[in-house]
Amino acid sequence: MTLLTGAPADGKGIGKGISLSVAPRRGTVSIVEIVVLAACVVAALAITNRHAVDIMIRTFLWGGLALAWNIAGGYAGLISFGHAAFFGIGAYTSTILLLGYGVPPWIGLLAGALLAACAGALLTTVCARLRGPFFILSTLAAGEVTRIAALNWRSLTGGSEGLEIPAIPSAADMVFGSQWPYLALVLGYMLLLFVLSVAIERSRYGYHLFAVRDDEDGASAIGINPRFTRVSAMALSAALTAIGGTLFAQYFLYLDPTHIISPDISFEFALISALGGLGTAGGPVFGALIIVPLSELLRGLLSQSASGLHLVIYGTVVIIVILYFPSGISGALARAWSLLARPAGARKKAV
Amino acid sequence: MDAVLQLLVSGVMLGGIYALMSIGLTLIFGVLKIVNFAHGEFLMLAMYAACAIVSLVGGNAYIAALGVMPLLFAFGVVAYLVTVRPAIDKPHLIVVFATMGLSIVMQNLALVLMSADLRDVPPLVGGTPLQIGPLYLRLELVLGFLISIAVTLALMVFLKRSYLGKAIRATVQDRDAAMLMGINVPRLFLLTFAGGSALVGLAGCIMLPLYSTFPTVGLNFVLIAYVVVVLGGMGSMEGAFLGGICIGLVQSLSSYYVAPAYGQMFYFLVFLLVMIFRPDGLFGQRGAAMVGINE
Repeated sequence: MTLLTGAPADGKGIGKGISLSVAPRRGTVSIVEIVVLAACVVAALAITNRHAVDIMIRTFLWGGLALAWNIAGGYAGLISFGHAAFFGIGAYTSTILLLGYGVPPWIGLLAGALLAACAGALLTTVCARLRGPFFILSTLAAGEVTRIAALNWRSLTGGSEGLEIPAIPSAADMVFGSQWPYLALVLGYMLLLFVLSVAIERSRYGYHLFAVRDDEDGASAIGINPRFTRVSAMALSAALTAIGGTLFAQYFLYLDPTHIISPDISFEFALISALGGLGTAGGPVFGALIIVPLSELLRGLLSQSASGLHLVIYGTVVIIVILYFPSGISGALARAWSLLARPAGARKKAV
Repeated sequence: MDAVLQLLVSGVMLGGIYALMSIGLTLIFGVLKIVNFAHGEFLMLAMYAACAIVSLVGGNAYIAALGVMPLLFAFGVVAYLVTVRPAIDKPHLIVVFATMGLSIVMQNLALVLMSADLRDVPPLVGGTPLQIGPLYLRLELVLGFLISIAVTLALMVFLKRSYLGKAIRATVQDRDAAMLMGINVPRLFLLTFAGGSALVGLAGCIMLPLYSTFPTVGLNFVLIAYVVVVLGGMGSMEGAFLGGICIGLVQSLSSYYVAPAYGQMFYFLVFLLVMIFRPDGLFGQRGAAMVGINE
C-alpha cells in the first residue's frame, strides 16, 4: 500500500530510512528515479566513446546545476535569472586562486562556494520585499552587473580574453589527462545534490521552504521566519551552483565572462528545472538527461543544414511542455503512474 | 560646458528612444500583469520587417511603420493566443517560461532564415548630423524623440478619454469588478497585448536607422526595456517615459565620465537601487512589487 501511494513523509517518517514510492512524490525516492540514476552510473561505467563521455559530463554537470537552481527556484519559489553570476563566482574564484596563488581547486571550490553564498544572501536580503516579476528582473540585473564587472575588471579576471588553466595533468590541481575522473566528479556532484534535495524535501527545513513559498503570511503565523528561510535557501543554492562553476572551469580549462556569466546560462538552469519539474528532486535530473543530450544530438544533426534550428525545436518544446505539462516531466510521470496504479490497486481490493 | 550640454541633450533624446521601445511592454505589464520575455524578439521582428519593406518597396523606415505596425499587431494576436492565453490564470512563472520559449524560437528562427549578418538602412540625409547652436544631433535621434513624446501623449489621452482606455484602466484597478461592469476582459487582454506589440513595431521602425539589425538585437535592448518599465512603475506611461530618460542620461553621462563599457552597469545599478529603496518604481502603484502583482 505504502509502495503504491507513496506515503507522504509525515512526522514519524522524518529521519528514518528512505521511503520508496513508485510515483515521484515529495520527500520520497521513486522507483523511476532510482532506475534512472542507476542507469546513469551504469552508463558512466560502460560507455567509453570519447564524444559520448563528453556529452555525459555536460549532462551530469547541468543536472547538478539545475538541482542547485531548483533549491531556490523550485523549493523556495525564488525564481532567479541571475544564477550565472554564482556560477561565474565559483569558476572565477577557484581559477584565480589556482593561477595567482597556487591554491588547489579542491580548496578553491569551497572559497568560491562561500563567496557565492554571501552574494546570494546579499541579493536576497536587499531584494527581500520584491515578489514575482520584480524579483526575477532584479536577479537578471544582478547577473548582468556581475558580468559587466567581470568583463571590465581586467587585472582580476583577464577581461574578455578570459583565463586559461594550463592543461598539465595533476590530481592536486584537479586537471586530468583522461575523461573518467571528470565524469566521476560530475556524476558525484549530481548524485550528491539529488540526495541533498531529497533530504531537504524530508527535513523540517524543507517544510519551511514549501510553507514560505506557498503562503508567506501563513508561514510566519506559525513561527517560520520567511526572510531567513529565503535568504538561506538562496545562499545554499548559490554555493552549490558555484561548486558546479569550479567543475566547469576545471573541465573546460577556459573561462570568459561573456560565456560564463551570460543570461543564457541562467535561463538554461531555470528551463532544465522547469521542463523536468519544478520543486522536485527528480525533475532537474530528468530535465538535464533529456535536454542536454538531445540538444547536443540535434546540434550535430542539424548543424550542416542550418545552425540555430536545434534551438527552434528546443524553444517549441519549452512552450508546449510548460503550457500543457506545467509540472514538467516529473509531474507527467507521476500522473502516468497514478493512472497505471489506480486500476491495479482497485483490483487488489476487489480480490 | 558644451560637452555637458551635448551629453545631457543626447542622453535625453536617447532616453526618448528607450521610452518608446518600452511603452508597449509597460502597457502589457500594467494591464495583463505579465512580463513578456520575448519583447526583445518582437523588436527584432519589427526591425527586420521594416528593413524588408525599405529594401523591397522603398521609402524609409518611418513610412515602413505603416506596414510594420499592423503586422506586429497581427503577430501579437497570434503570440497571445498561442503562448500567453493558456497561461494567463496560472502562476506567473508559467508565462515567464512560455514567453521565454517563444523568445528562443524567434531568435533562432531569425538566425536560420536571415543568417547572423548585420543589416542597415541608409540614413535619411546622408548621415550628416543636425547642428542646433553648439549641439550636434542625428536627425533620426531627434525624430525618434519627437515621435516618442507624441506617442506617450497620445497614449495618455487615449487611456484617459476613450471608452477602450477607460475599460483598460478599470481592468487594471480591479479585474473582477471590470468584468462585472460588462467589460470583456479576455478580449481586452488580447487587444492590449496586440496593441503593445504594434507599439513595439513602431519602436522597431524608429530604431532601424539608428542601429544595425541582427537576430540577437533584441537581447541588447530588452534588458533596458525591463529596467525602464520597472523604474517607471508598472503600467505608468509618463513613468516609463521619465524612466527612459533617466536611463538615457545615466548611459550617456557614465559612458563619458567613467567608461563606455561601464555605461550598462550603471543603469543596472540604478535599477537595483530603485528596487531596493523604492520597489514600486518612481511612479508606480504602491505595494505592487511586494505582492508580485499576479497573486
